[in-house]
Amino acid sequence: MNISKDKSNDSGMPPPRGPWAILWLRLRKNKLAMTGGLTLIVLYLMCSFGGFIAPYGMNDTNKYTVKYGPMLFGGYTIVKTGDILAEDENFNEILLPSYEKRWNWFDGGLHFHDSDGNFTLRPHVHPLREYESWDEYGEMEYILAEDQTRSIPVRFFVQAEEEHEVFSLCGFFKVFGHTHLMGLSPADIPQEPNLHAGLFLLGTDVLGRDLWTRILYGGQVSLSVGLIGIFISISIGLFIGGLAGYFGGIWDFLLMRLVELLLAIPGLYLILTLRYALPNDLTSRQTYIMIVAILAIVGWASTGRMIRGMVLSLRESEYALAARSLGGSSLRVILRHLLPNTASIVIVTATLYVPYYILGEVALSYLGFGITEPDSSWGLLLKDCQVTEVMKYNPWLIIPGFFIFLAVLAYNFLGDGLRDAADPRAFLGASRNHEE
Amino acid sequence: MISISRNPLRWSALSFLAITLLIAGCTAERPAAPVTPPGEDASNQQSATQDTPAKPRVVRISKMDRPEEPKPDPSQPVGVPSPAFIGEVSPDAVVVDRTGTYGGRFVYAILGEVETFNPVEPKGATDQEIRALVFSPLVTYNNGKWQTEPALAKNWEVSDDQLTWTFFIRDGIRWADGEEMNVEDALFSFQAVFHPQIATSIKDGFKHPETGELPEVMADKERNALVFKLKRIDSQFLTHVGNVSIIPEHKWRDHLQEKDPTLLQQMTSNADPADLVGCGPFVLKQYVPAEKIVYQRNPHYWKVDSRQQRLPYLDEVVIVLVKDSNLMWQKFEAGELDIFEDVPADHFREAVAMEKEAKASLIRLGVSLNSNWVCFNLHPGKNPDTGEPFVDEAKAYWFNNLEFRKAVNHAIDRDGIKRTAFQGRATAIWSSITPGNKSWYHAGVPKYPFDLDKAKKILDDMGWTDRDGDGVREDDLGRKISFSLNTNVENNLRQQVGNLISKDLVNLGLEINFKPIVFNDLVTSLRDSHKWDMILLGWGSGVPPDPANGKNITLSSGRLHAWYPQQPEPATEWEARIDNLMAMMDEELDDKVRKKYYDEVQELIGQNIPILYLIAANSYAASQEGRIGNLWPSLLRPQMTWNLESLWKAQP
Repeated sequence: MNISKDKSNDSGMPPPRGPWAILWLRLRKNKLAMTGGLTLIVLYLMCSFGGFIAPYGMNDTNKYTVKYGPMLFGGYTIVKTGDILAEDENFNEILLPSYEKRWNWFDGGLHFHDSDGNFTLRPHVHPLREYESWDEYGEMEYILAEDQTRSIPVRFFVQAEEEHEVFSLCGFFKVFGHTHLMGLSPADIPQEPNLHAGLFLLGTDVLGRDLWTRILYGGQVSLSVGLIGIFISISIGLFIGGLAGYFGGIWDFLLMRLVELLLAIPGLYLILTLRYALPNDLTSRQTYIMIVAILAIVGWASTGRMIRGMVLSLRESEYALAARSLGGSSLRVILRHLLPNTASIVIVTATLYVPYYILGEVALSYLGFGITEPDSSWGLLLKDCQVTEVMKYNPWLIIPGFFIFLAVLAYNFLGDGLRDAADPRAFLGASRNHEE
Repeated sequence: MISISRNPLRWSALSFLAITLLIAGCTAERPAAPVTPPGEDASNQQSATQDTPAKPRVVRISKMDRPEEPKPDPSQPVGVPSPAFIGEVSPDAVVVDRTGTYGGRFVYAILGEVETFNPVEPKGATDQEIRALVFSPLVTYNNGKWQTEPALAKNWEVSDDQLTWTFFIRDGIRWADGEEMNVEDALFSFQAVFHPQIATSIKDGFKHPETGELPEVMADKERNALVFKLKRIDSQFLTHVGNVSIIPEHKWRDHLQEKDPTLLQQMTSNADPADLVGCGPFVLKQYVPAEKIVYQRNPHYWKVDSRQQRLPYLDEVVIVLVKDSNLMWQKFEAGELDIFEDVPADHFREAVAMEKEAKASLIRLGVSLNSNWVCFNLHPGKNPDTGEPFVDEAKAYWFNNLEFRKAVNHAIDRDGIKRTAFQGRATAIWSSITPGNKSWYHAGVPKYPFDLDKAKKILDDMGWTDRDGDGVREDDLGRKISFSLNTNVENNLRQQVGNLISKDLVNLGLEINFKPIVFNDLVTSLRDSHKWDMILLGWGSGVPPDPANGKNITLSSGRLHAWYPQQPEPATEWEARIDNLMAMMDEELDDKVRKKYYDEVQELIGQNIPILYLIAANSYAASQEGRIGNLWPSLLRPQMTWNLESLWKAQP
């Protein structure tokens, strides 16, 4: 140990670093890429533990809490706008109330005081009261608003009655349990008619389901589609690209024409055509795998062409020639000498291509060809925003779009950083900078 | 190590945290003086003082009445028609009790594309709607009054044996090209429809249900009348006659050959507008595919208003062709369209907002005639190619069990569907006839209100309980009750309903695989392959809303007899009885007796629940405020354009 250490010191040079270590060092200096990477880690962890973090189950519909606003940002209060004079069945005149709800930014919703108004560190939410509001045409509408006189504490590590998923890797390898990170305890909820309660941090959708829960479960699909898809397409790309680049000739010609054929077809149309070609009566898990497969089949072409180009130039390098002249088989040369040298560039492209897969899933689900109800994915959640009314009255339903945006942006930052870090032309200068 | 001060990212994270805490702090500080008694929170007090009106708004709720007929207003300016009317008005002209001002262009939109302008064989709903602008029938249906009215025929006679119908044609009516219209044209039109080599769905209604014979039709020139000799008593004969548009013989004589008539190849969507000659209120001026259809006034039209001014009032009608209902709504909201028919639930709040800003009026039409339902596959047949039954033995065993269907019906929370998917604007239904159809609605059909405990008890009593503790019931033979539910993926609303129903059934202890699929696949499996378990779909209502028009659904031999279509002979006693009742309805002309028959049909379906009717949405129509006069909206489609000849547009 000592001797070798001395030796290295004697040389007067810094200890040699492997290419991966250099890549990591340079990546670490790129703050934007690191933020992207960190965001991704948080997103993936969050969605993997989605079932645990979420206060509800993925498809817990609640007919009383339809399209309620996000409690993280405020709450609705009720305003009485007047009375409607009407006749009941016996032609007696009765007064029917008519209400309106009013949104209050950062007032109500998630708050830090209990029913008596004393400050507490524990977050609280108000129960929601349902009002029957009549209009002058005799139509009744249910309006949900906060009962601000009371507060329900948010409990941590609540035990749910029903068993549910607590951890899942991309929707597979599910672990089940009873604990939710947070939620309302049924014992705290007052049992009164027309009184409902829920912890809807990001609001609810049209079936009264908690949007935050749906986002967490949806992320399992949306985020993993990219990873699995890129794995498949890179595998195909490496295989085909390696073959074409190494053997050249007729192989190269045929395979590259195939690649051009695939690249010439507009991506979305190819995806839709493939989707039509496949059967419809699949379970949602099969649909999910199918979407990944479709995206990968469409996506391998450009990677394949890039690998082919690299293998073509690496084939003539000294070490490849040496390996071949020493009698190494073609397979061995490709696998041991050529492909490992493409590793850094493959990782970079993979990172940069994942967003296309995420967006591909969004497009498919948005158009109704991907994940369908009752499952969840970010694209499917955005489907609710197809009607213009949502933008005006239920803008929180766009929040899944923010998560898509975040994931895509993070992947792009990370990919850009990786590309800069793996750029061999910047190699020397960067390493010298590091030593300074 | 980099310190905090040099790292903007960490700063931003910290400041974000700080802001969050600040916000939290704000909410925490709010009830600093919480001494108010419960129920009188500060904000509640504020809203109470501020918003309690001095007097209640006195508005009498008229619960779901049909919109009133518009009244004539003699002070209305007459205006100048352009293009002007030509010639004398017919002495037999129909007098409509309206007034209005000439001029203006009326714009509305329809979903989809024109397939053909040919009135002998209209293909889609779009074609049916637009042919009514150019062509007129002998009798027509008044959507406002819900009754059949004379059109080109001024009146009709029925013989005592109810087999001979005589329609007297109006005198002095001219085609849009100025030629005189007479009984020959009417005869020609019916000959075209009855021609053995012209395949048109209009013909089907005239056919004898068993022999397929068509009525004899002849012209009585002396009385200027068209005479039909029927082979059987047909209570729906007027409706069938109303489906036939009268076309000009002088234009199309050469195309109705004995052999291989070329009539259907004429008047298609690429026909010359000048060739489309009809007796309707408008003539085609221009057709731009996928964009618009422009009509202008028929200068020879044969209706006058209460001041003896000739109709129509409108100079031009423009139908914009759109592909997407969101786009259609945006066009209406921007004021490009004068009316919007069938306001869907997801645009309702925008429509109310427009109403509050006095930009549009939203007309509440009551409960729609369209029903939503779920249905089990009761087909007992086998696939002729493979010899396998269409429905598994186990599934057939469950589905054919009446108690099981009852339990399912009790387990479906229609109120939940109403509150969520329909946002409260719907009504639970127990029969295909919704409360909106006042002439045929039957309140006495059996109802199965939501009662999960009762539903569970029914299954428990049959011994279909969960014995292996996986949360799913097994039937008495130990088979896990698991089946799939399909609906069409294009319809968002239906997907939501399907999701809710499958949740309800999971609560009952069944395993449901809910899968929305493409509509065409759904129709294929319903009609041909019969490979489905449970399906969620809806019926639309025709015009007139008479149950006799739904025969292909109600009769056991019908193609749309959803649970077991095209039965060779009635599979059950009650289906045989229904067939019988429908036949009796056809031969009975008294609507009271016919209603009694159909009430029994509804009760039979309610008792045997082969099909579970769920919910009917409320129906709305919207028009730009103060733009269109004489609007008389109706639940029946087209809701607002059925009386286009008497609508007028306020001039800016």
